[in-house]
Amino acid sequence: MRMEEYLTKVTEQIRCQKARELVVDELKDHILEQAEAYETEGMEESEALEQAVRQMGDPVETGVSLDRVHRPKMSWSMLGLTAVISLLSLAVHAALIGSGEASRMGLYYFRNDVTFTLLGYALMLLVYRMDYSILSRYARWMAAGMLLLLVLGSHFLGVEVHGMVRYIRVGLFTMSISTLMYLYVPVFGGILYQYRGEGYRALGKIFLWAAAPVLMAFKMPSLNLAIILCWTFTGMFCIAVWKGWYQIHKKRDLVILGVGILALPALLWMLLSTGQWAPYQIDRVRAFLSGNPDYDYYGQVSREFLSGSRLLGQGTGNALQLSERLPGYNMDYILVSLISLYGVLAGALALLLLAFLFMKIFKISVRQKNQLGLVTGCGCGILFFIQLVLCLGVTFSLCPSTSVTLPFFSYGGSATVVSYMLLGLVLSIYRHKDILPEKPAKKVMEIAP
Amino acid sequence: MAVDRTLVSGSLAMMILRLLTEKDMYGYEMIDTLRKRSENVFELKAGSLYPLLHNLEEKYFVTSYEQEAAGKMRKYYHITKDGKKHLDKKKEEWQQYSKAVASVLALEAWA
Repeated sequence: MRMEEYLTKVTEQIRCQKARELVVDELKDHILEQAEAYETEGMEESEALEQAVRQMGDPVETGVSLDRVHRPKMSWSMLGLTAVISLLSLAVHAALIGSGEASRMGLYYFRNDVTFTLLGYALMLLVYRMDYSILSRYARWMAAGMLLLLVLGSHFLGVEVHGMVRYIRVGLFTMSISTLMYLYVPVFGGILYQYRGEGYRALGKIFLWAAAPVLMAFKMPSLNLAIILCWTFTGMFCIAVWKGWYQIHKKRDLVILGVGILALPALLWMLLSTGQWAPYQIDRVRAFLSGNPDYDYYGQVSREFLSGSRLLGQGTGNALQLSERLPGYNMDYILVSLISLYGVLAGALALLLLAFLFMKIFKISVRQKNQLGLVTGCGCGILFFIQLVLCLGVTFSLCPSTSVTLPFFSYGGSATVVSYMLLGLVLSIYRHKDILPEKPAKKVMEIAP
Repeated sequence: MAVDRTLVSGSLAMMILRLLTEKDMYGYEMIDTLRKRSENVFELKAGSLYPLLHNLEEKYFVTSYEQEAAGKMRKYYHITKDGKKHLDKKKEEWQQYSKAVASVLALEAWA
């Protein structure tokens, strides 16, 4: 049997086309190396090659075993965990329907929540089926398109609330701009990947690609969205640098970046003293730092509900009171509602499940061989994690009250759908873990001493 | 020497992991080393090595990376922490098993 014949027979057994590439080179290298060894032992060239192929054994048997490894996979444990979280979330929203006149609104919210969750699952499975490596080819186009659509969308189709354009309305659909911007995170992973193998000049371009959406968020104005995006992009960039994607001085530059992040509060302070802050922003920070409860209605009410809660079961506050007294009872303060309706343990369970889910995202991503999948998956994980931390901060009055989302729990069409889509991306990364070949960067990686 | 295949396949993963605890290796190097170490008892077919390696990689017992050596790009395998743990477990199982087999065989000798 000739070598080509052997390799064809092996790859024919592997059903997944993309995975074939992964296998052929390695087997071919082995045969050639073996043949070389036989030649040095004194065999003739053609005889050595034939003997080396014979040494490989039955190609069909090998191919079938390889097929078993290299095929699309589903992370059932992650899907199961997600299903449990979705059910718990729906249970909370069902309990929040309330009674009497208020229940009409409650029923409306609940119906929407069910619809959004179902839509989220459909899109999650759709994204899961997709090959995420398109990001490595079209990320810059996608990013530019997204930014352009968001700018045009908020200009022409924007819905103004309290003087701020926070939503875009297209026909029947109203989408939250800030949530749509979360979809920029995986695209940014693709951008980081596209500049792989380049040096300091590429870092400047990467900075611009990151700065554009952050600046847009800042101008909305949504300081917390700007912060969330900024942290997520920084985290993804650090991982990419750490993995040696760029021809730069890895350790030194990471240290500089770290110092820069630590110096950020100082920069904000500088902007404050030079009059760059709006008066209302200064007032908000002052009010928070003063610790005076009169300045913080939300915090005060949420603390009241929390202190009236029981370890297990409904505390002093019921669904009606929550909906009447606590604005954002099913969004920003969903955790307060969950704890007052079902008890502290239920709240802890929800947080634990989310923590498990996010850990799983990181585990899947870090174990990725495909570098694009690694950084993009980690980006989704970081984004979810920051949202969780900010939500905890607001729930327990540890940071100034601002609009936050508890992923998979807070009410909100765009937030629900986008969260499930990002999860679908992580599932897609897992699906392709033994399929997508990882090509080394075009330029040779040599980190300057 | 041709050894019964079922006897080899179960322990092959263990031997590969053991080899990798010494240093990172590429496929041919593993086959070659095994052949020499076992004094040609393990004349295993190279074709069965790669499904095994890829299977170990899927389970995250080993990771792989490409590196240039002597002008050739080679795919090296590296054992992970999980892989070392798995090896310890398998080794213990193996030792228990082989001890049991040996003692039964010894009984036979006395009979």
